[in-house]
Amino acid sequence: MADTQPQTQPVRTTAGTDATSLLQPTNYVGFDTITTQIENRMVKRGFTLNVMLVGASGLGKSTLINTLFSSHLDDSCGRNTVYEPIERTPDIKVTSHDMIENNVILHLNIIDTPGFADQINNNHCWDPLLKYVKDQHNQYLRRELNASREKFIKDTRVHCALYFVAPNYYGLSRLDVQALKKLTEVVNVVPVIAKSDTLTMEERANLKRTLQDQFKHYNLRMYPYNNQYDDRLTSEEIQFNKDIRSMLPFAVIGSEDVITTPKGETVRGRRTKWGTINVEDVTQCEFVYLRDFLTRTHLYDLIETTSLQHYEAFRTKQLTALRENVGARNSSQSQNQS
Amino acid sequence: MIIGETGTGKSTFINTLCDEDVIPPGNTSFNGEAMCIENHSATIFEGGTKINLDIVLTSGFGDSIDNTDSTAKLVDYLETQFELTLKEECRIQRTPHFKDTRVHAALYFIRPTGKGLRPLDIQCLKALSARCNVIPVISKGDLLTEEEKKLNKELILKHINAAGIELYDFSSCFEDIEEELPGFNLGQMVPFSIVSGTERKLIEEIEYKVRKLPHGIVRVDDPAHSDFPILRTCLLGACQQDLKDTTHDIYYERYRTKKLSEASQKREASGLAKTSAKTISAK
Repeated sequence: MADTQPQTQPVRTTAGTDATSLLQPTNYVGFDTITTQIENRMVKRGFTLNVMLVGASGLGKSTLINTLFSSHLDDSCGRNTVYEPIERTPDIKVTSHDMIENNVILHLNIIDTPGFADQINNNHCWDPLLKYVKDQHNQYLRRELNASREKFIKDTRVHCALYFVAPNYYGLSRLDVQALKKLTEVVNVVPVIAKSDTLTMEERANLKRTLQDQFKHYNLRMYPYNNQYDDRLTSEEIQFNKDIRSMLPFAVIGSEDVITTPKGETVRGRRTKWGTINVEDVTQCEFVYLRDFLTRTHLYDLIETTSLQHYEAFRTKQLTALRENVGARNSSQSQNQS
Repeated sequence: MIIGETGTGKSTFINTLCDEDVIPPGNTSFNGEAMCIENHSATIFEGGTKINLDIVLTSGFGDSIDNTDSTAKLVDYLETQFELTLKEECRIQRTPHFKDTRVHAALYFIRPTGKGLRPLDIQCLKALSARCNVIPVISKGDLLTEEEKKLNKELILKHINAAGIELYDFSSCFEDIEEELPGFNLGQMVPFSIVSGTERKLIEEIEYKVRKLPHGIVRVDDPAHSDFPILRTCLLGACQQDLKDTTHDIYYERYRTKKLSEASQKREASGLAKTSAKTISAK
């Protein structure tokens, strides 16, 4: 970089510090290369992403995650033989994969929820999910509070919960509303319209509008959050978030099969007697938007929001409860002594 | 009778079947708390004859978080219809033109998930198959590719056989079906996978009923695209009389035998009690 002029230039930073107090050195120092140094360290360490898939069985959760990361990561759960029990209790299944792309390592953990909304009486079928999320926060907190703790605590906290909505005309079912109410309080929830190849364009637009109205009506906070005053983001990012929010939820189709379109291209998609669907075609489904949103623009933000917002809220609650317990015990002990 | 969860396409199916908007689209709202059973009627012209179709629609089935009593309500409805007919039969002076409200066929709409039947489906189908003709139908067939359709049908049949559910047997009217739809093996077609749509489009100078999807146009009337025309022919044409006969001869008789034997057992029990009371008082 060339030599810069001394301090008269107003500099805008994302950290929001006072512009006039920033000094710009007369000769080039070179501390701006810290970004590359950080990058090298982080690349060596790798990133962890934990994604939870929530939705009734048969909505294409496993297929979508395989399509998103372009590899066969998760096997669809289901009753493949008649000898399996009919009613499954909701369960948590975690599969881990380490993926590498251009020397960047991503530790991906997929948390599948077979049995969600599958029984005749689905009351509290969301409890195992909430318990899992809270348990991960708890585990992280304990490791953090440990007197001799590890250098880098393995992050198993759920960064993103993809909630699959069935492609109906009415939007959220009663079960969806209840489950979402609980989930949006503790984890970043990204709603997705599953199997949207069954919807006409008109039905899709109607469903999106219905869902957005329902989110507002039931006060469900979906990721990305509408924080006007979030000082971590630039104004472009805030505007981008607003655009994304108007497009939510994404209507997606997942497919691992490779087909040849009539034009002769080989793409991932589905072929039916009346047409072929190309998963990456934005006129047919919004898979590309979801993929870019999750992996290319908001991946780091998901991890950060989980850590700074949800985990902090959990931590505050736990530690104040702990302090109150200790205080109560101390006062009762002192009462017993006196 | 048409049974299925909200959003499985029951109203669209009825409208497509009757060629008119019997149930106005977008009508079935989701705010009703409990499941309710609605009656609609329509007139269809099939093969030159006028058919009065009475449609019983279950709205709200399987929509609550707790669905343990949904099946019970359905069974209740079916048995009430049998009861009405039984009472009418036993009357000394019968009403002329008694309207037969017994359910001749129950179309059960299954979601096209590719995972077969859910516990609620199995519970309901078991209860229904003991009381009326059950025809399982996979709705929204436009979701499935050819292979998925085949796999799904096989899986559902396996589940049905494992649970011991009796479906309506189409083999009794095979000859009639052969006449109207040559070349279709009905035994392999159950459950039917249908696509319903009420829009119309001109393709190659023939007007078809279609469903316009972003990636293609599904011809509802085309047996290659959806099993809808086959189902329609079976329901309204070839198997219509057989459905009514089986309802009367098998299911209604079953109910009647059960009811009357229960009644006679009660009388015996009370008769015994009376005779034992008499003997005690005589002593």
